[in-house]
Amino acid sequence: MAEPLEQRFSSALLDPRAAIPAGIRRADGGDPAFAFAVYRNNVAVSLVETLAAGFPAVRALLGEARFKAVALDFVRREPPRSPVLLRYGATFPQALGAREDLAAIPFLADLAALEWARIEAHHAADAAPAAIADLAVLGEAALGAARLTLHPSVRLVRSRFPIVTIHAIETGGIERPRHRIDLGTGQDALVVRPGMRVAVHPLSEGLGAFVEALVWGAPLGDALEAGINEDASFDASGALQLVFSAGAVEGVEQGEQDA
Amino acid sequence: MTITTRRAASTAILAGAVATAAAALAAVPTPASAQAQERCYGIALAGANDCGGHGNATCAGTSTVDYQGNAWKLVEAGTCVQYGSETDMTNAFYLPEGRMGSLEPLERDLPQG
Amino acid sequence: MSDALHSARTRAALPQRAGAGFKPLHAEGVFDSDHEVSWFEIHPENYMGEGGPMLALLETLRARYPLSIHGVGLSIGGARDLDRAHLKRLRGLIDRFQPGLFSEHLAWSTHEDAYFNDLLPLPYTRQTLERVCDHIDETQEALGRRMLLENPSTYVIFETSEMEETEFLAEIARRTGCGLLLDVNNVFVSATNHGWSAEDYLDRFPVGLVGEVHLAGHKEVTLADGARLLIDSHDRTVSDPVWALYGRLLDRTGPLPTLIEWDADVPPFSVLAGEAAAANRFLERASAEDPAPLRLAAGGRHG
Repeated sequence: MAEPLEQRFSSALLDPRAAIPAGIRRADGGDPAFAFAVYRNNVAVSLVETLAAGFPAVRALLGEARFKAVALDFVRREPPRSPVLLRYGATFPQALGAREDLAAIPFLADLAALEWARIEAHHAADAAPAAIADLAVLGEAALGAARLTLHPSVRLVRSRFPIVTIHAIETGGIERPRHRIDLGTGQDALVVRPGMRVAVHPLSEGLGAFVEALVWGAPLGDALEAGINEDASFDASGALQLVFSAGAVEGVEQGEQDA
Repeated sequence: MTITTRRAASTAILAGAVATAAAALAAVPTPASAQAQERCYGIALAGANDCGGHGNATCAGTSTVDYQGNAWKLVEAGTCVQYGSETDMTNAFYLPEGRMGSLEPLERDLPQG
Repeated sequence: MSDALHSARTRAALPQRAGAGFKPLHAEGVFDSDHEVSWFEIHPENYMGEGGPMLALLETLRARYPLSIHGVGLSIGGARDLDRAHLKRLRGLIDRFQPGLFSEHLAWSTHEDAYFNDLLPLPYTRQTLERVCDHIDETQEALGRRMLLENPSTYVIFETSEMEETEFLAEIARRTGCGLLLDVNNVFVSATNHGWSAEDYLDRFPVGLVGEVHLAGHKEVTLADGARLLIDSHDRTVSDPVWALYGRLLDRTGPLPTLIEWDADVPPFSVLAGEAAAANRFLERASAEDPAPLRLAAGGRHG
């Protein structure tokens, strides 16, 4: 009895058109569907609120009503898999990107990916960042093979759109500019929480490729090349200053040197 | 062969880059560790203060006004007063309309009603 | 970080005073004002990240106050096997923060792979009794301690139920050795919704097993057919009939750790502290009137 009951209960919670489970009733003899609607509403509202709290820029951009409709659709298709709701929403950016009715906002999925990266960074493990002195002590010959271990909170979001600026505008971090912003300028975002505050650093061309190589665990020499390949005027010193001053490096590992 | 040549080139660039970067950062303190924090008033966005921002509904954000003067956020020690000091809108320390972070609660931007 | 510090921590029992649900936004009021809240309760699911400000704040809280951990995600009443990974996460938090009590709900929230973030009702049958008892045995084993099980607030009833809720809870406690968390607002909400007498419910409840009491506000909604239903909304002050039931309970039990819950439309901390002060007046009266409360079974440990 219990298995099928839960099965029917579950289906009816997520699908407002589904019949309510048999075997439930109201003490006053009224239609139990109206009381069941309370559960359906609790589930929908609480999960939509969870997404709304995690994706404030997407919410601001879509407006309250449209966000609710889009989020509710997501909740019904992809309900949480875990009671740890601070991990709910990892696939929301993809789901937004797949919606044809939102294709007019081409940067929406990337913007959501940036918000998700902030959530992950917020809850990532604590660690003390390394200083550049830890790298400077290595001999010249060892630098190319050295690997920078990134801080556990580091997330990289690469985009063809200026998502860092859009995020700041939509969350009120900066004032809405009077002119239209140039959507053709891509921005990569380095998200990191070296202490208790999540910071987002916009990365210029070349830096995104450099940080991406570090994320993949490439030796410093290869990461540098990745930067130069993307942008011939790539500034290696500036790149190192950025990743160390942002607190994005947790440690320096000596790699195998060329013979 | 190519690999060795490339390595040699990048080693030279890197050596210079590390030296320059190390010199540039020498004057800057290392990033604050997880322990050193302070309360900073008037810098939190609505619903984005340190209530997890995201999680079970029982942890909903209650700061309903942006930069609410009596809502605080934990920031790295020593950085609170830097909020509002930047005019570059993409800088993390930028706050609109001349607002500044404060170590004490502020009267501004309080919710109405 | 700093495991050495955590290992020195020992369990702090909850005092027989009022506590409050902890909201990170209340940190200033909690830490910087004089108030009558003697302990705090958290939902562990909100602190299951790897690190960051939430856990840092919980460290600060626990350094100053006894703590109760009140789970919302274990789905003890569900047909599915318990989520072992979730039990392990709970154990990690419990070992680190050493709460005075750990409690969960007589409800389910997960089916197959979906987590619904709501406390869903179950019929009270022999079959569900077996299942809940198995899950509580497993939980107490995995956590290495006794837990409390909370009575639910419900909006529908099941035709298949064979037992009264009080009877069901008493039998679970008898078989598993768990204690009970009595939510007085839930009693009032369910009793009103289902036409029971809340007083009879309390009188039948095995109050000697109660280790903690919950108080909260509820709201009344009108259903689509005009009928009225109470919702356990936790968004306002405790209602007068619930205070009256609370007084009736304490007359039998003497003082018990009592939590003020407030989870939606959360007001400034001073409002929660005011509710806590009101609960403390009941507790002081109960303490003066009944020096030998029925608490023998409630404070024990599992195993």
